[in-house]
Amino acid sequence: MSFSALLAIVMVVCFISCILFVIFGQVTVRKLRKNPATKHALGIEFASGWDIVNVAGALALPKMVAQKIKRNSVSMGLGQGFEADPNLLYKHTTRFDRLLARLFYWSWASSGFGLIALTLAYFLFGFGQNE
Amino acid sequence: MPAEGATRKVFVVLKKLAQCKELCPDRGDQYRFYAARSDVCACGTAFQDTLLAYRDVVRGKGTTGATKASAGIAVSAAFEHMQKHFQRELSRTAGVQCASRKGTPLLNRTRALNIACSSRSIKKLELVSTLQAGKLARFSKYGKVSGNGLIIVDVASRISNVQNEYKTDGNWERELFVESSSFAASALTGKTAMSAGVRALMFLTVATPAGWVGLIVVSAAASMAANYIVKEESGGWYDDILNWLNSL
Repeated sequence: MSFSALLAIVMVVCFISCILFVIFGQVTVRKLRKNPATKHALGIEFASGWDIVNVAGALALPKMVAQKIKRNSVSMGLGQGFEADPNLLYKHTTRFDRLLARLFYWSWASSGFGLIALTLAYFLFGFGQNE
Repeated sequence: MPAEGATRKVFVVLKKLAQCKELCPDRGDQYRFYAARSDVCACGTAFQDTLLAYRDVVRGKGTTGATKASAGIAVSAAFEHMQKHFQRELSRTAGVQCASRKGTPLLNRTRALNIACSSRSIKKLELVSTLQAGKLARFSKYGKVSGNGLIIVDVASRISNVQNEYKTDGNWERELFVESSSFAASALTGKTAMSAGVRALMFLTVATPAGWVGLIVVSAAASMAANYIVKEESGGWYDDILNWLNSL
């Protein structure tokens, strides 16, 4: 399979994840931002909208992994507000929210890592440079 | 040389005082504590003035009759005065707050954290020192590390590329497709690299300042590289899609 075709597939997934990003942000995270119980548990915003990714990660990753990430960030001294709190978010989200989170997070993560892998392949191993 | 050392110390103190003054604005609801305690600030200013006079004496530019010893005495007197005022204000504040059954933020850390979390009662949060106020101000900035500025600059430059293509009667729809897909790719790659990197830093226990800077550099490089490859390829995709649509 050619480099261009692989990249095109990754970009289609990227396009879908961009749409899901907006939908998940408007449907689930907007609700959580308004809720006084959860508005401080959405994690750090490195840039505007980053909390959407934090929340999706907390809901989409296996609960054990999400809890471990949260505990790790606290024990590293980064503070309670650094990562989203999976236990609290599970209490305040419906099954549909979690489905949306999983759809968004995995399309986002797979296309993101796909782009990183293809970039590395292009620049380090010269894959696709002669096409 | 001892004079030089003393001057340097005075400069350090002056810098700290300047920071302290920044934290004492005269207006603003959040800073009512400091507005009400402006006499403490006045003492701070008086202390600063004596320090400036001391510096002048050390540099040989002091007022006539002032010696290094007399200027030094004035400095320590002003310092004592400021400390006395500050302690008085502190005990008065703590005394008033002890009336509350829940305790005071000065004595009860959980209480202080609760007040800080609830934005409605920020006025109740009275800080013991300017150092604490500075820490709190920094923490409130923690929320958004980078604003939308960079993204706006990026989008503006991309839009101007499309507009140039349009003005020169080029294929501007194709340029729009290239720019928007490479923008999506670079944003997505940067975000993925950043959030994966944060977790990696945490698990490898290298979340030091050097680690953070390295992570930002790596994410930016990944984002630029993804931008480059998608820009290279997406023009071809656009042509393929149009050919396919035309063949239908």
